[in-house]
Amino acid sequence: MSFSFLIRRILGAIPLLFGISLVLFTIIHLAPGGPLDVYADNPSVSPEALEQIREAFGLDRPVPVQYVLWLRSMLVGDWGLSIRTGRPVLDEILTRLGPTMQLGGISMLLSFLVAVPLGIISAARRGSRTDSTVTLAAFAGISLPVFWSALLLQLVFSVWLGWLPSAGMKSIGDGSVSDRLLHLILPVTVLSLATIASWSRYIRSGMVDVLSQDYIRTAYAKGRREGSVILRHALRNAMIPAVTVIAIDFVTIISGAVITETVFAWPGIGRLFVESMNGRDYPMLMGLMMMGSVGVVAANIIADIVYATLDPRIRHG
Amino acid sequence: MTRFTRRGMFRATVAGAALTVLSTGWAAAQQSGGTLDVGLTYEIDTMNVYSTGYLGDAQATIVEGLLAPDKDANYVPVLATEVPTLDNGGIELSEDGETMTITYHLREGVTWHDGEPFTSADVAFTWEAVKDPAFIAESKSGTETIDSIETPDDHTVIVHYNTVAPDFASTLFTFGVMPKHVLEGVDLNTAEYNELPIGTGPFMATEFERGQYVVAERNPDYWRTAEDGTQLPYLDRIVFHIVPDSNTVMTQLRSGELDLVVKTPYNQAAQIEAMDGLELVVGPLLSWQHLDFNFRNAMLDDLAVRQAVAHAIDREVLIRAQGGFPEAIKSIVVPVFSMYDDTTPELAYDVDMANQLLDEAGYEMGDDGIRTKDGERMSFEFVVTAGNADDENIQQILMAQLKEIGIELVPDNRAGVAYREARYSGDYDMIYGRWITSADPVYSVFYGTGGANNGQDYSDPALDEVLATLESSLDPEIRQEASSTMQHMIAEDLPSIPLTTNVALITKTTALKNFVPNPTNMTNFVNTADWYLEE
Amino acid sequence: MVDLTTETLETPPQQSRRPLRQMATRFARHRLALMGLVVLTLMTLIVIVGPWLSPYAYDQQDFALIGMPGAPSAAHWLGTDELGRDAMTRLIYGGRVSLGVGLLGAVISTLVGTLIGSLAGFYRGVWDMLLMRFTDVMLSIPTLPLVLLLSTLFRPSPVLLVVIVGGLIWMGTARLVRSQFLALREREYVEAARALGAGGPRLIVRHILPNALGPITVAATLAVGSSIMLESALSFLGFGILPPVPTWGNILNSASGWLAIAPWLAIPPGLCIFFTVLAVNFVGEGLRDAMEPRG
Repeated sequence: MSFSFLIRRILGAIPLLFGISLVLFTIIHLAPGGPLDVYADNPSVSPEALEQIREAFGLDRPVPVQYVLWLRSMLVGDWGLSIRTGRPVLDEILTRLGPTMQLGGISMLLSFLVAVPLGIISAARRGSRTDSTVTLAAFAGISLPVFWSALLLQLVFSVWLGWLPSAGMKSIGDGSVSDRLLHLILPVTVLSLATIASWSRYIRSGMVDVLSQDYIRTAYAKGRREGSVILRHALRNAMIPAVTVIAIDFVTIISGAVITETVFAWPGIGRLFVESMNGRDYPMLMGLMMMGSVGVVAANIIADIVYATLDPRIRHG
Repeated sequence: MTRFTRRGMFRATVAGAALTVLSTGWAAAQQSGGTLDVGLTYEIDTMNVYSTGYLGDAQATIVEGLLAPDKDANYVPVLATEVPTLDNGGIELSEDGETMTITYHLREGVTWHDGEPFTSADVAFTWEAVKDPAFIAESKSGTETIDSIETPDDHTVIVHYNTVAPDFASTLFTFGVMPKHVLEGVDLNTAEYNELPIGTGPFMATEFERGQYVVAERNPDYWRTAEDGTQLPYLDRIVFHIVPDSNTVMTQLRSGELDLVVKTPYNQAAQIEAMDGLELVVGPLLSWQHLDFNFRNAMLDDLAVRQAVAHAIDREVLIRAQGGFPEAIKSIVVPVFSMYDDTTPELAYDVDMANQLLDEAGYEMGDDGIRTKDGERMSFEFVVTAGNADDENIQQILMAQLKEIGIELVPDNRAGVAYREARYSGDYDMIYGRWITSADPVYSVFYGTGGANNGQDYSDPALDEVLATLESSLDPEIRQEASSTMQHMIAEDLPSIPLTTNVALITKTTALKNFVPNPTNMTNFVNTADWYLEE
Repeated sequence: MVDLTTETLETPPQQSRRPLRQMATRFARHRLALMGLVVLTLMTLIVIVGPWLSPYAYDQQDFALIGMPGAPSAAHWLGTDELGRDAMTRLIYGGRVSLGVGLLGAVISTLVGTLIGSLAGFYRGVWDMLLMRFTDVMLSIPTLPLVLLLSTLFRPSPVLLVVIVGGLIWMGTARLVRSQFLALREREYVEAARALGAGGPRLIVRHILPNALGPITVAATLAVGSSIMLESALSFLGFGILPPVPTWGNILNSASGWLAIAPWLAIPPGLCIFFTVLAVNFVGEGLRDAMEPRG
């Protein structure tokens, strides 16, 4: 993998981001009522004040001009002010990004640590009872509605058993690691279930493909032990197809956090999104959607890089 | 059936207990210290009492005003030494009786949380700052009726009004006073004050994590002491946790993570009696739930239709769907007010009468069970707050009840700001919701022609005159009479059908003492200085 | 009069009778897929017939029972909700709505995905570039937030909701169809048809598409699961189909408030979503295995 590949890949994403911004901008401006509707119910905002805001937001200009203005300020990091709180959109998002990344990151890590061994065992013992059990469990995990499992876990572990805090990020006045970990258990479990399930499937199928390859048979024929064959020879190649899925799923985890964060009162961007929807905070919604899309694009680029690193056959000029 | 009886008794006991504590003063020994964990079901947008869309719960522990309503919705002095009245000379009418002047005497020895003294200059500054058109406030009410403010010395404020404003106590200086030394020359829309306000209250804002919590720490220099000389407040700390999901709130109450939730959904309250260490306090609220008509719709402009709708509604069912807590009402003035007129006519539940009214008015029953007139079906867009389980339940009951008389309601629910916008701009045929008012409500904003909250496009010049009298007189007799007239006129012309009262369902730990529900829009947190936790 | 030559030519290489029967056999051997199919068939039958058999209407309130959920009884097998409505009837009717949204959403997403994918794969060049860039754009915008945003901005009717749901999950199908087309358009029988003067649309619809039907069917099956999930999540968050019309998502939404004292209201709709999506996934997996036998 070369540096120029990286650069080309990143440059290639620019038209994509441009397209995304155009779609999002169109959606918000097609919506009935404009961004200033949010003030319509507030009798204390005088028409003069409304006019001031309109000018400040550039809403008195033609729509294409507004788009260009918006795009320009997006590029320089000025994402406007939140209508709801009056604070810069970027600041608000960054404040909320931390908890979401924490939740998402830990869920990713856990999913990875569980899914890889599951996928390997399942593939190595193809057709065995273990394989069918893992497969069945994986299908169950994929089909489980997140909001429902979240409710059931809360009911069992916080209400009936009283073992775990039901919501929030930490107890007040207790920022200790153990306290934070306890708060993480339920939301991380809920978020990980589906990803563990789907990743173990991908790793299993990658592994199955690889294990039938000639070089693996050769390795076996040479009398290598099974563990060594799988870990040294097979895993690396089996991971390749899973990489893209894993990278994209990180973003899926984060957008799925809209539900998880609401149920578990987790102060991340998923909650911010729902709050902003209720407040019709257009600048904030735009910022969040844009941020999410950039995340997807970035995840794709990262996946490509990892892909190229893992697979020696892929050489990008 | 036993369930209902048991809850009824339970409710009576708790309410009785709360009242006893109040009337006997502080019977038990109070304990200082402890942290109270409060669950708020909404997001705190700003800590500035003038910019927030929610009447601040957390804010009320930090920022104080000159006056505050007590548990009976009577105004009591806070930063002022007495409530100005005509009798004590605090209110003076001009000779022509058209304007008035109010004099406040301020409490001495009060300091802001940063140690600076609180003076009359702060009061005058608050008016100027809120009035400033550049400041986007949620509420500017009360600023426009003031012409000027004089501050002859540090502890006297003379307010000159350009009209007679009997409701002067319900807004501006009651919401809170802002510190001049902190905010002078600062853009209030973006000031840091909006995050961590500096007030004179029993608690100081020390931490505000957006979307998570607000921490209010004990103010050691608070100006009040208890009768036995103990420095108030008792509690060390109040933490307001933001938990927007009502199921999560209940879970956290049950698991002991929260001590107090002031807004328990009706449909969840039933579960609380089963929980150890928790109790439900039912507090009255100056609030009522009502069904409003949009007069832009020609069918709804027909009095017969509105009367038929009123006759078709069985309030008893609505009450049961809300856990049995609210009460049926017939007047827009809630019965706790002294102005309430019990002779207000009532349109009782009577489906036959409703059908007869519609038959006579020419609305013919169609094959699909929906009436029509001149080829138009009686089908109306019906808006309630989306995501509010209580309101959506009421909506479904009303839909079922009106279907019985051949009227179809089509739900068109909106959440948050969109609901308020629909309500104020009249983007509905019928809307269900509630108003919560101050201790001295201004009804013209709801029913007056062009009133700020009148999205119904309702206009009755005769009513406007009555409202003007009600809202510009200081004479109790004249006001009482005008209020009665208003109640009768609205009950007869039915722009709005008052359905039930709205009560506060407060869930609290049994360890929290001296908690007194406050019925006004000034929140339960106005008297936190007296609260304490029993071991 | 159909040209005989074309008739022969369009007999797709994989779709002679024997492979089809082989596929059916392979699918039937896939026990989970078979079970999934049985579950789905039963569900469909129940939601179609059920509402007629039930003595209650989905919005029929027993005013005497309003206020508290009622426990399961002989009259109400799954109890009543807090508005005195029969939970079983609502669950079944809700299934009709949820399955309906799932199916229609999948149909729309498959139609859109197939259209875009086949145009891109068949015409290549600028068309391919533009359509696939658009697909990339749609793939890059996180789906659930976008659905939430659209449904709050436009307050959709159930029909519009289906369109929104279907309109946001077609991208996978489009990519799949495109790759099938890129491969198939070079096949000899297509070349031959082209040589005989068949035009673009005819080639696409009569010659290439039938051969791509297998993978499309698999994608369409899985799309049913995705749209059911998406609609439920939307309704659970309160932005989907409005009550009193029940869907599994909004039943779960209102039942979740009673979870601690009336778990019999919240557990069935969750189980229904779970089993339906599970069955759909099994069937999808079975179809995939049957069409692309591995190993």
